[in-house]
Amino acid sequence: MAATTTTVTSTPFTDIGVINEVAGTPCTPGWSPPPGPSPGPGYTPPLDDYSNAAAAYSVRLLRTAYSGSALRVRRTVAPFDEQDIGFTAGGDLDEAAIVAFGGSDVLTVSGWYDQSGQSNDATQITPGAQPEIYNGTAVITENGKPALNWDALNRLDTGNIVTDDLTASIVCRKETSTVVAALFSIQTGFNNGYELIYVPTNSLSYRVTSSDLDTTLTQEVQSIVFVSYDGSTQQSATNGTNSTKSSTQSFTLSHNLNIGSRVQGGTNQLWRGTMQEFIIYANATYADTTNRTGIETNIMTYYNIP
Amino acid sequence: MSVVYLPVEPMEGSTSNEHAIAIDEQCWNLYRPASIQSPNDITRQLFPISIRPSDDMAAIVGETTEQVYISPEVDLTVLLSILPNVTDEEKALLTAYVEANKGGYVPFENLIPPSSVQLTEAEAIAEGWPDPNAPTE
Repeated sequence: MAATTTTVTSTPFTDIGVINEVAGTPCTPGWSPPPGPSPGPGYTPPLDDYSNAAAAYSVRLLRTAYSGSALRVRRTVAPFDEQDIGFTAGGDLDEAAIVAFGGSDVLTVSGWYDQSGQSNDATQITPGAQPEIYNGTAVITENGKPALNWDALNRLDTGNIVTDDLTASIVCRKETSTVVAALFSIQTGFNNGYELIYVPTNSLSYRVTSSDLDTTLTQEVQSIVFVSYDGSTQQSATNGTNSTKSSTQSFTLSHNLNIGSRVQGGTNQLWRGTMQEFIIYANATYADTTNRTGIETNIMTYYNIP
Repeated sequence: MSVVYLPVEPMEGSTSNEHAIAIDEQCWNLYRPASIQSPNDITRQLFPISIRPSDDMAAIVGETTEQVYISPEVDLTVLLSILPNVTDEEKALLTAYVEANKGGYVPFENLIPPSSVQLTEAEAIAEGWPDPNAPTE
């Protein structure tokens, strides 16, 4: 199943409906919002409960206090200009702004802004390696929510944000292919650092230096992937089903986080499919079952993942 | 379509990588000249750059048949100034070619000065640039 698309038209009162829903006030014709600050999204942004992320990227608002944009898009035809895209009052990606800017032009994502407050924006400075968000007709979506589409040529990079322990949650769908495809890597070299890769067929390999923890990732299924490492245990969970492996690895990383890429400099084995959210912590504070399931529930609820 | 590696020599005051980035930025300026760029633009280079680990030599990695847009506002002054090994004759030919194609697309291979060192992917790997196809699993 390929990524689906939906055509978005501007609906000025959509946000008012969300405001009423949040405030518990029935929506009535002629109602107008009271003056004052927006009441925020109709869900609990995950970083409000699970704070201190090292980097956090999404097509939804992840932290109530975050006031920046979600991502930056680039037009793929002249004049090749760029524009920041923010959120609606409901915390969703402002799809109407994407449509208004794109018109009949394809838009790619040159920057996925970090909502953690750490300013670790994930960017791609070369046009050919930027994932797509708008196909010239409609915003690309996955299960009704906007999605970045990765076509095996794309990657986004940020700085060195993890030195040892790690926790990460990712919302993605792997498209059908028979090749290795990377969700992310933080590697000083092969078998030196972290990598999370799809390996045919339907295997997800979470690697901490030379220690592999292989689980299942079904292609063409929107999935929540949760991985962690606390210095002694690797954990990998897909849609709530987790596996662990004892693993003592000694390393200090000094390499960038590459999203959708396995090894910096490589031009293949890049991600194929969609990605909608990527949150990473430079520790294993939330790796326990209670916190993991809490994070997964938050994600499942917003993205309507069964 | 074939991949071409264009090794970039260091230039006075610039390492090989710095020089390659400067050239690559000017390649992006063909699409979107500095005169119309926004300071908030993230996109700023046209091609990826590969570094040879043994000596940090940088190579711009392009596709010979990639269609490169030539903006009507393009200004080649900076690009020509950072190509010290390109002859004046080649610079004049490049300038005339770009002028004649403003507002259109041209194959990347037509923009590469003939005297430039050009390597195939296999040749570049043999000379020490990272193999983009490794590791296999």
